Amino acid sequence: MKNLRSVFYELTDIKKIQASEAQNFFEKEIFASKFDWQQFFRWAFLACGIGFLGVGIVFFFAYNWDALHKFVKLGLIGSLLVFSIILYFLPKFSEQIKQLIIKVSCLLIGVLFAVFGQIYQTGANAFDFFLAWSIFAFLWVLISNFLPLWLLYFFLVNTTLYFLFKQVNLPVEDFVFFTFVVFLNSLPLLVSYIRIKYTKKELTYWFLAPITIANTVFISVIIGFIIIDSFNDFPYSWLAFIFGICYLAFQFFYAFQVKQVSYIALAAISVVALFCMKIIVFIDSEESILIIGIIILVSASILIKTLINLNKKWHHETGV
Amino acid sequence: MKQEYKLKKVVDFFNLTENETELLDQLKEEKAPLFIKIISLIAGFFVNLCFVGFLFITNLIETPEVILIIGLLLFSITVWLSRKNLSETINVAIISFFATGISLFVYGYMDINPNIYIEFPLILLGVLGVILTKNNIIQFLSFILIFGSLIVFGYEITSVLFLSLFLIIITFSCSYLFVYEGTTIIKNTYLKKIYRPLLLSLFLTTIYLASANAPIIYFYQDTFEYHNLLTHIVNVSCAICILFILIKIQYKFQIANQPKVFLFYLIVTIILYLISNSTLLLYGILFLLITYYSNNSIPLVISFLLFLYGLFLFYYDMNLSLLYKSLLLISTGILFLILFLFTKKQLSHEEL
Repeated sequence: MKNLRSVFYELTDIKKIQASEAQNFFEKEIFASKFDWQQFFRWAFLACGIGFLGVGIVFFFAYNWDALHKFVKLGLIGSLLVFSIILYFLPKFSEQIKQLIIKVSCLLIGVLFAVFGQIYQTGANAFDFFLAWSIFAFLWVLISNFLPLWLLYFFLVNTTLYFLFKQVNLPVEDFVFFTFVVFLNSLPLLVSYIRIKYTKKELTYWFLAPITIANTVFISVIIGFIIIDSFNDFPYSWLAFIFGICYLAFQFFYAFQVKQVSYIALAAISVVALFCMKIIVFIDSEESILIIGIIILVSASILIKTLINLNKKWHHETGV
Repeated sequence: MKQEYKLKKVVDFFNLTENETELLDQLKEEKAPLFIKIISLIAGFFVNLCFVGFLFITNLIETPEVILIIGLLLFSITVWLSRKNLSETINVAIISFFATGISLFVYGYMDINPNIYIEFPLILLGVLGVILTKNNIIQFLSFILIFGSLIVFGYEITSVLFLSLFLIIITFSCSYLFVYEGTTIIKNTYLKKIYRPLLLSLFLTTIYLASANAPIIYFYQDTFEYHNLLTHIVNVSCAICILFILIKIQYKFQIANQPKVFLFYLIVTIILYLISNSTLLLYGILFLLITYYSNNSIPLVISFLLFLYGLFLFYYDMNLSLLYKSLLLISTGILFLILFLFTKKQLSHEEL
C-alpha cells in the first residue's frame, strides 16, 4: 500500500513543483494538523497526569509502607479493587474507559496477592503467586472480552508456566512441557481460524502477531534442540517434532486464509534456520559454514521474491 | 486510506492535468514493505558472517594485502550491482557483499597499518557508497558507516569537544530535515534520492550519541576536559530545537492572543530549565514532537520509548529521598491534569 508521501515523491518525477508549494502540501496533507495536535496534547496531558499521580502515590506508600498497619495495607488495595469494580458498572463511562478500568482491576488482583503474601509470609513461591493471579483474573478477562487484556493474560499464563518449569519438579520431559506451552499459545490462532470459518471475521493482526512470533521462536528452539541432540536421546521428542512441523504448516495455511505475508515469512525463516542446523550437524566440518551462507543467500532471495509477489497480489485483490 | 483517495488528494492540491494524472496512476510499482527490507538486512548480515567466518576458520587467505583487495573488490561489486536497476530479490546478495567487503577491508587494513586511523578510509568508502550506489539500503548502511566512523574517531582521540559538536550538528540537521521535507527534496534533486536513508541514519545516530555520550563522558571524567560545560551546550542546542518545533506548532494553532503565547513560552522555558540536566529526556521530547509533527510512525515509536527511558532516568537520578520524589511526582501529575482540563475546556469552547 502506497502512502501519500510515496505518491508525492512519484509526482516530483512527473511534474515540476515549487519548493514552497511542496512544503505547503506536506504541512497541509501529510504532517500533523491542528486537530492532530489538539488530540496529541489532550491525551499526552491525561496520560502524564494519571501516570505521574499514580507513580507518585505508589512511591508515597512505598516510603511509608513499614509504618502502615497490615489492615491498612490490605484495605488500601482492596478498596482500590472495589472502587475500580464500581467504576466499571457506572453507565456514564464509555466502553473504552470501562475496558481500561477492568485492566487496572486485573492488575490490582495481583498486587493484592503480593501484599497478602508479604504480610502473612505465606511461604508461597513465584509459581503459586502467578497461578493464583491467573486463576482469579480469568473471570475478569472472560467477562470483559477485551483483546489487549487477553494478550496480557496470555503473558501472565506464560509467566506462570515458566515458573512452573523452573520451581516445580515436573515428572514430564522438557520437550513435552514446552510443546504443551506452544499448543496453549497456538489456541488464539486456532480460534481465529474457526471464527473465519463461521463468522468470516478473524482476530486482529496486532493481537495474533506477538503470539505467533513467540510461538515460532519456541518451536524453532524445540526442534533445533531435537535436531542437535538427535531423536534418540529424549523419549517423546518425536512427538514435539511432529507437533512443531504441524504448527508451522498450520501457520502457512492460516497466512493464506487471512492473506498476511508476515506469518509466511516467520514460518519460512524458522524452516530455513532449522535446515541450517541440520546441515551443521550432518556435515560437521568447516565447509558447513560456507554451505549455510549460500543456503541463507539463496533461500532469503527466493523468500523475498515470493513475499513481494504475494503481497502485490493480495493487496491488488483487496484494493488497499 | 484508499489508493484512489490519496491520488485524488494530490491531483486536487496540485491541479494536475489529465495527462499528468494518468502518468501518476500508471506508476503502480510498489516498493517492498518494511519488514521485507529488514529480512534482507538480517539475512545479508548472516551471509556475511558465514563467508567471513569461513575465510578465517579455514585460513584460506593469509596475506592481509589480498584480504584488503578482496574487500575492495566486493565493495566494487556491490556498487556495480546496486547501480543496475535490479529487483528487491537481489538485496540480500548486495547487502552481504557490502558487509563482507567492508569487514575484509577493515581486517586487511588494520593488519597492514595498525597505527594509522581506519576511520578515514572507511568514511571515504561510505561517501563512495552514498554517491555511487542507487540502492536505499546500501545508502543507509553507507551513512551509518560514515557517522559510526566519526563517532569512533571521537572516542579514539578522546575528544568530548568533537563528539559534542558532532551531536549538535546532527541534532540541528535532523530537526531541519524532518520539518522541511518538502523544501529539501524539491530544492535538491540529489538529496531527494538519499533523503530517507540520510534521515533515518541521522535519527539513529543522534539517538545513539545522546544516550551513549553522557555515560561515556561520566566514566571518563578525568580524560575528557570541560565535559560539564559541553554537556550543557548540547542540552541547550537540543532545547533550541524543541523551541523551534514548538514555534512551528504554534503557527498551526494561529493564536492571536499575545498574553496566551507569552504564558505558553514562559511555561515551556521553565520546564526546559528544570530538565536541562537530562540530555536523554530533552532528546526524547524533541524527537517525540518532531516525529509526530512530520507523521513518521516508526521513528515516533522509537522516540516514545526514548522519552519513557529518559523520564525514568531523570527521576531515578534525582538526589532526593523517596518521600520528596513521591510528592514531586504527585504535584507534577496534578499539574498535567490541570493542563488536561484546561485544554479540554478550550476545545469544547472552540467546538461551540
